Amino acid sequence: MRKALILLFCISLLGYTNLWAQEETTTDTIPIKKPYGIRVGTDISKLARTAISDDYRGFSVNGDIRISNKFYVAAEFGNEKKEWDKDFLRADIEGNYFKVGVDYNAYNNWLDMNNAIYVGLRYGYSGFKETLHSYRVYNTNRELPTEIREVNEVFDNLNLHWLEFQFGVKTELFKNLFLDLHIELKTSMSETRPDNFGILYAPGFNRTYDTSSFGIGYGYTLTYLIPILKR
Amino acid sequence: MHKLAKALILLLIVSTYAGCTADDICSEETQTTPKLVISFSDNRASGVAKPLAHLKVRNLEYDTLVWDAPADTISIPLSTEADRSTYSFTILKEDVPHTNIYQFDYYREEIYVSRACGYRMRYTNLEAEDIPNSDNTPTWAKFITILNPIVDNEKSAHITILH
Repeated sequence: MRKALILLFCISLLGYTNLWAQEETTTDTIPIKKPYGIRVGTDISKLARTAISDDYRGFSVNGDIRISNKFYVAAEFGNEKKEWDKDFLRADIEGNYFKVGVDYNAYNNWLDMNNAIYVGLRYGYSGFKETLHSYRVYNTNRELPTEIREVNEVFDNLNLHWLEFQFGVKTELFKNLFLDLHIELKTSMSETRPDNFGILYAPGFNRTYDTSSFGIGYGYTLTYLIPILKR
Repeated sequence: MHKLAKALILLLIVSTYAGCTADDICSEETQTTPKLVISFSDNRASGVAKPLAHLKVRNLEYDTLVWDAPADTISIPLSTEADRSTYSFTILKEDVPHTNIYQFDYYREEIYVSRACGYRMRYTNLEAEDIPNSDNTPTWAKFITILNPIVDNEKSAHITILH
């Protein structure tokens, strides 16, 4: 009798778990498989600025890899040259940079859409040289003349490390072709300053500010998704 | 999501504003190329200030008047283009002009300040030499003493002229 009771209890328990399991399978929907792969592309705003402006030349390769439903590992590397000509200080800055980090997609896509509203974090490194062409000695008195100095001095092996926060949107224009628009907020962590000169601009970081470590930027990137698997 | 977007836009505006304000103009508070500060004291009682009722200071290299007023403490420019600046100091004593000529020699050092101000000058190893008048103009000053041979700011006098 007692054995029979235990057996009944076990069966009921089993039945209950079975029922519970069944419930879960019935509420499940047909899963939409998301594409996983590598996105590679370039920042078209850099190409446009290179074509339009005389004082800028830049190129970048941008890409990311999807590692989960919401997270992507992202990287960018590039080369930039910028001329600085303001207040009698004329210099140009040229060098390479890379950024690496993660993006988190906060947007819940409908069905098989692959858009994103994302936030990203990057570590950035820029290695560059500055050429100081000319400068003035700033003088508040106008009684004695001061000439502009033409020096053409090169400051080599400069670098700047920074942390970057990104906020942007990605839309799939056509199948596997994505347009990314984002803003960048950066803060410089450490830098190798030239001797008796300053860092006016760092490739990837953009212009610096004498009174703060902040930097700003934007990106307008076209990428192509090379699908590897669907999950 | 909207809150996040708003916060980000605000952050962007604030950081842009904070970054731009003081940066692209060379503010007046910034120490740029300093002038030479000269005080006048009594040659009979050391360290006692003795202002002049009226003083004219002329740069001889550029033939420019740089001071034409009563003088307690004056500040005059040093050339940014040469290691020497020569000045004549003229006062009137009973309507007769009295002139002393001093030649200032120094080393020049150009120091980077900021992107807006560019570079400034720092003068070191300041020396002053009494140059006799070529004509028979009488002199008024007795001695010239270097108080600070480094002209890096205008906070205190670098030179005192005793008379």
